[in-house]
Formats: sequence, structure tokens, C-alpha cells
Amino acid sequence: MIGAVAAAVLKGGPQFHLGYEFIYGWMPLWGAVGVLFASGLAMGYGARWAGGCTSGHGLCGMSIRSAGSFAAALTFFATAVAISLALNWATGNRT
Amino acid sequence: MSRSTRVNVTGLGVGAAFGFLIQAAGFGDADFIHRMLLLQNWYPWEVFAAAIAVGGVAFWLLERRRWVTPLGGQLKLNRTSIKPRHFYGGMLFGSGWAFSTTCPVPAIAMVASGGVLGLVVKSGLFTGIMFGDRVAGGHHHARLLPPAA
Repeated sequence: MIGAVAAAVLKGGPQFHLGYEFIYGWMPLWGAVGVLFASGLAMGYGARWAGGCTSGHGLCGMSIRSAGSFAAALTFFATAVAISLALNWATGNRT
Repeated sequence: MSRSTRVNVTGLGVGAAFGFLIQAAGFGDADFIHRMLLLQNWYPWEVFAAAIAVGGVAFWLLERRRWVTPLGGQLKLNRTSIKPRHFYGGMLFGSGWAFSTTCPVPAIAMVASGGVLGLVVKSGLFTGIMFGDRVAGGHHHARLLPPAA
């Protein structure tokens, strides 16, 4: 958090905003809050289940050539890209 | 200064540097990762690849030279074999990543840059981790325990 705030200050921030501007075109704010909480929940549980996240498996695990980390990282990379592309297609390029 | 204090101070410094670089690279912006996952922006993939390459060479060299870390003793890299939980957990994590277009560390960067909805994602993350600790973590640890005498 300290380093991220320092970098944000150097970039001219922090500037308070909601973020996720690309969501509002097709979803109300309360819907976005629900989706974001649920997706955070899925990430937290999934990271605990897989034993790591993008940093743990993706950066560290793959750096040390851990087979389990390669399996987990390639799985979540492929899943995230596939769902993002499917959502983009299903919403007519609005997401 | 005690060893545990030195470990904590080192952790603080490394964590701050990591957070700084994540923010500086642009990962605090949800749209940045969104376009990465839509394969419209290859720069984040290049950052990932560069980080893995640098880390991979460094770990390979340090392990080969049997490096003794200043605070943790002999370097021992904890490699895991492939297990079903890597696929199930990875699919669940990837699903959440696709919908939130951020992941645990960039979500902190998002909050640090003023993105309020990043707090919602972090709340969900902490809840999920606590729930995972009770269910997935509990099962995992239970399997590691020796059989009852």
C-alpha cells in the first residue's frame, strides 16, 4: 500500500473516483458492487484453494519452475481470458 | 535489532517496492487489466513475462550457488507437483479475475490510486480467503496431519 500510494502521488494522484467506468454503460452501480464483491469472493476462495494467486503462482511459482504453479497459473490465465472474451461478445463489445 | 524485526523491515521494504512497481506499471487501473484479458493490450503480458524471466534467472543462479539468505538461512525453493486443486482453484480464481478485472495486488494499487470500488473487491477477497481457510485450507491441512495413533 505504501509503495502504491507513493507511485500514485508521483503520477499526480491519488484522485478519488469509482473506477470501472466501462461497467456503467450496461449495469447500475448497485449491480456492479454485487458483481465486484462476488468476484472478489471467488478470487479469494480460488486463491486459497489453488494455493496462490497471480503473484504467488504466476510470478514466484513460475519463476522457480514449480509444476503446480504452472498448472494453476495457466488455468487462471486461460479461464480469465476465455470469460472476458465471452462477456465481450455477449454484451456486444460493451465490456 | 532482533532477527524478527529485520525480517519485518525487509518485508516492508520489498512490499513497498512491489506495490510501487505494480502502480507505476499501470496495474492499478481496472481498464488496463480488462484490455489485457481481452487481448487488446499486450503490454501487461510483457510485464508478466519480463518479471518471470528475471525472477527465473535469479532463482536459478541463487539455487545453483546454494545461496544462504541473510535472514532465512539456506535458500529452499518450495516447488509443488500438479494436483487437482490447482485446476479447480485456478478456474475459480480466473472467473473472479475476469469479472473484477483486477487481482489481489493490483486491487490494492487501485485503492491506493483512489479507485473506491477497489475496496469492494478487497472486501470480497478477504471474505473469500477467510472462507477458503475454513473449507479448502482446513481440508488441505487435515491431509498433511499424521494419522491419529
